[in-house]
Amino acid sequence: MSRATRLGLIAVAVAVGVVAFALLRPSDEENESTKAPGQRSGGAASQKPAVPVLRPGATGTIKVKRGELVRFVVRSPRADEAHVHGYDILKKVPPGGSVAFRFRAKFEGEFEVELEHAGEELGHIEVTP
Amino acid sequence: MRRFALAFSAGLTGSLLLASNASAHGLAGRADLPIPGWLFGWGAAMVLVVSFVGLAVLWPEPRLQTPGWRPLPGGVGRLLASRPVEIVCGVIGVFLLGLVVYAGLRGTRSSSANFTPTFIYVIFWLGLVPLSVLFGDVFRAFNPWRAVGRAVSSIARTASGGDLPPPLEYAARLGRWPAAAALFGFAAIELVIADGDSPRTLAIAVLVYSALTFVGMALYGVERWLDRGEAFSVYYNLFARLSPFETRDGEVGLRKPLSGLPRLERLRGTVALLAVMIGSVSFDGFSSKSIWNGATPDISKFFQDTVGLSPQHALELTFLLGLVGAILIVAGLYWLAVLGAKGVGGGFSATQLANEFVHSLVPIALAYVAAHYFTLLLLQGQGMFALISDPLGDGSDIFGTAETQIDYGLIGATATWYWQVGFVVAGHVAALTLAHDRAVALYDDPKLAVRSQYWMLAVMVCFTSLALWLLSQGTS
Repeated sequence: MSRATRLGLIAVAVAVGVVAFALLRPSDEENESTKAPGQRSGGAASQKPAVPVLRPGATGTIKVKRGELVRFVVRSPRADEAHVHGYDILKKVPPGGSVAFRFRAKFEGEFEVELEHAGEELGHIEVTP
Repeated sequence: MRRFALAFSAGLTGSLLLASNASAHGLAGRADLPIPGWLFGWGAAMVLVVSFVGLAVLWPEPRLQTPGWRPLPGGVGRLLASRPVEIVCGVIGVFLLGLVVYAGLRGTRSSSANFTPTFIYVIFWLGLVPLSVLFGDVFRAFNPWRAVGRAVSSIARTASGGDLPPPLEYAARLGRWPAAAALFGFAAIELVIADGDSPRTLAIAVLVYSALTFVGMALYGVERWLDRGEAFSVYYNLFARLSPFETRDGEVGLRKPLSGLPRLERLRGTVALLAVMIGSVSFDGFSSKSIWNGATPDISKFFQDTVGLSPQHALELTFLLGLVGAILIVAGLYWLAVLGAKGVGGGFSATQLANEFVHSLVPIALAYVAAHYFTLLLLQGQGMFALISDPLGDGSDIFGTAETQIDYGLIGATATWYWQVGFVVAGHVAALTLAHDRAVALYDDPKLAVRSQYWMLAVMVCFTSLALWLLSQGTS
């Protein structure tokens, strides 16, 4: 195989890769159009979204897009502190009581929510682009 | 390491309701989002395209087997490899080793507020990988065990007037097995042991490993043990072989890209070492995924009921089996490629072929590490700014940086996905290039060389697809 043929083959392969990438990649417009306003939680697509409740033994994943509001309530049978990792928000929960969280999702990724002292996981916040 | 402090505590309380959420704990409070389906498809397709194009266009004569090298210009190469630089680096390494042990034993028990876990798992274990790939064998310069070993041996030589007994002969059957075993031990602490990120556990592990290393160096000689037995020297040296920089005769110089790996000495235990490297990263990825987390409670319950283990030990045994299983799968796949290549003829034994091609797995191991951990290094590594000011977690603020926060917005999910897939595809290209070059050097008949590569390539596609698949799996 000559040098030119080789380079040609590589060029074709690169072109195929680039074109496939450009075609497959969802455009920003699509992102906008599929972006529902407001809160998205746990896949429950109700009209008036209920604020999800996280407690030990009943964990869940809260899914939002970046820039949206994250809202949820943490309940605990014991006095503890609820910790949202990454965003590093720490709030006290009274025994048998609850505490509400409400913040803007500014970092992408999956972040854990935990009862800090018991070390019990309450769920995750999934922030997609 | 971001796993299962939680799974463990849930197991302890006996609730075992950890079902879908035993993940992302320990040091990292953040996990990467799974790569989207279209990107997974694109990555996998690119791997196939690259493979076939590679088969067609790669050179017919070996090009990487000859060790071309020229020193860095202007005496810089000599300066970098000089005695004073070596001593300074060694002192820094010994200081850090001491700090790791001291902070681990005397500092706070909180794994995130103590210097030791983040330093070991993020800065040392992950940070040294890109440094090695870019700048060569950096760890060798800073290796505290080497520094101590060399200092002790030079003092002993002076004190004894130069007639020290020669070190024992390093048996050929040992090969790189000690390094593979120690690396497995490290992976087990990281991924299996329930309190593997506790500062105390880590400090004790460092002390035990240091003692073992000193014994090894005393028996077999400092350089010999570091070259074959000491896990981290062997590990970072493998990655450093991808670097363009190489030290020869006391001088740092440049070599052809990828030409460092073909010169890897063929020693026993190297396949095991690579299998541990790839298998442990695979398992770390896999064990945070929903498939594994769905199965662990049942397996763990089985061990509790039949063997009578405590919930914690049952869970640890489950994870240990998972880790061993992942390593065996990786090793099994490689042996499949070797046996396939043996089948095409050429008169090589399976062991011979296994040793001849194992160096081509190093870029794949690198791709696994890079794709799975680079955000952990980039984000969690920032925790070091606060930790150097307050290594013990006692509220001190030595450099005034104790309040520095981690910026989790440093890299977004989309950029992360592109980098991850990029790493995997690049690793595949490097691996197939190395294997191809070895094949054309090894086989007299070019046709046999190509046919042996069908097998190698198929298995590499398996490894690469597995990496992409792991990246595309959700954690919950």
